[in-house]
Amino acid sequence: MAKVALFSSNASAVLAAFLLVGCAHSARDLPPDMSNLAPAHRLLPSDTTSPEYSMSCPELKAEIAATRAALSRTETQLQDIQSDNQSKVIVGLIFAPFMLAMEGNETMKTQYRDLDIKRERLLRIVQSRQCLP
Amino acid sequence: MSLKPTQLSRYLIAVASSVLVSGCATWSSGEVTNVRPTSHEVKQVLLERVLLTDGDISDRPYTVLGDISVTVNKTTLFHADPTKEMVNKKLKEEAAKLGADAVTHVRYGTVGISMMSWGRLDGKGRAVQFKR
Repeated sequence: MAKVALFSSNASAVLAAFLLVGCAHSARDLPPDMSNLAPAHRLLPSDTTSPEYSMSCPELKAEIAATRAALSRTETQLQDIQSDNQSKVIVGLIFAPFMLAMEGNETMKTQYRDLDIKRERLLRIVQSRQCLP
Repeated sequence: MSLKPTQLSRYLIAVASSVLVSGCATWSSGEVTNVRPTSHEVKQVLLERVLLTDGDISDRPYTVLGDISVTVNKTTLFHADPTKEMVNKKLKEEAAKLGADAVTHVRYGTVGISMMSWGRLDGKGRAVQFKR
């Protein structure tokens, strides 16, 4: 009976770990295939109404660099939280309350996704303008 | 020779531990969707010749071969998380099988737990072949 109770407490701890550590987010779907269009016209309707569309080539390049840097920073932070949480799961398997110390990272994952969408939009606009590297 | 239950469980633990600590740190899978019909014979290209880009290719005309989706998983909680480099390698492998010259619009998910893995990272891209 005691073994059953121990098993169920361990199972609960693992389940809690699943919920708290944070699930993997899938990569976004690919954009529509626009390869039949000339490069200058490979834009999504939302691109032309975005604030980035009115930027000049140098401004776009600076914005791309800033967005990539922000993406990289967010990714590093996400990895740090993830590995920190995993350490807590491992310790938590022995001492379950330790799992309560885990951090959520959903806001950061949403931020990462938004930055990634922005980066792609900037790349499409740069390519449609044929801004030189 | 018969093993007592305690001996058997010790052996099982030893075998499981050696599997976990050694080799099989990650496992991966890949699939290709929206495959475009091609009139020519598919020739597998060398992995290192496949280009990866997070944007589009505008300076060379190309034909789209298909959309690639790959996933890299770590075997146990104790292994290191899968990286973008592992996803890139898997994307290249799938593209090479299709005879692609490049993978455009490469994008990644974020690492985390899934129903099948303690650590999962996926990536997507579009396999293209340059027009010659």
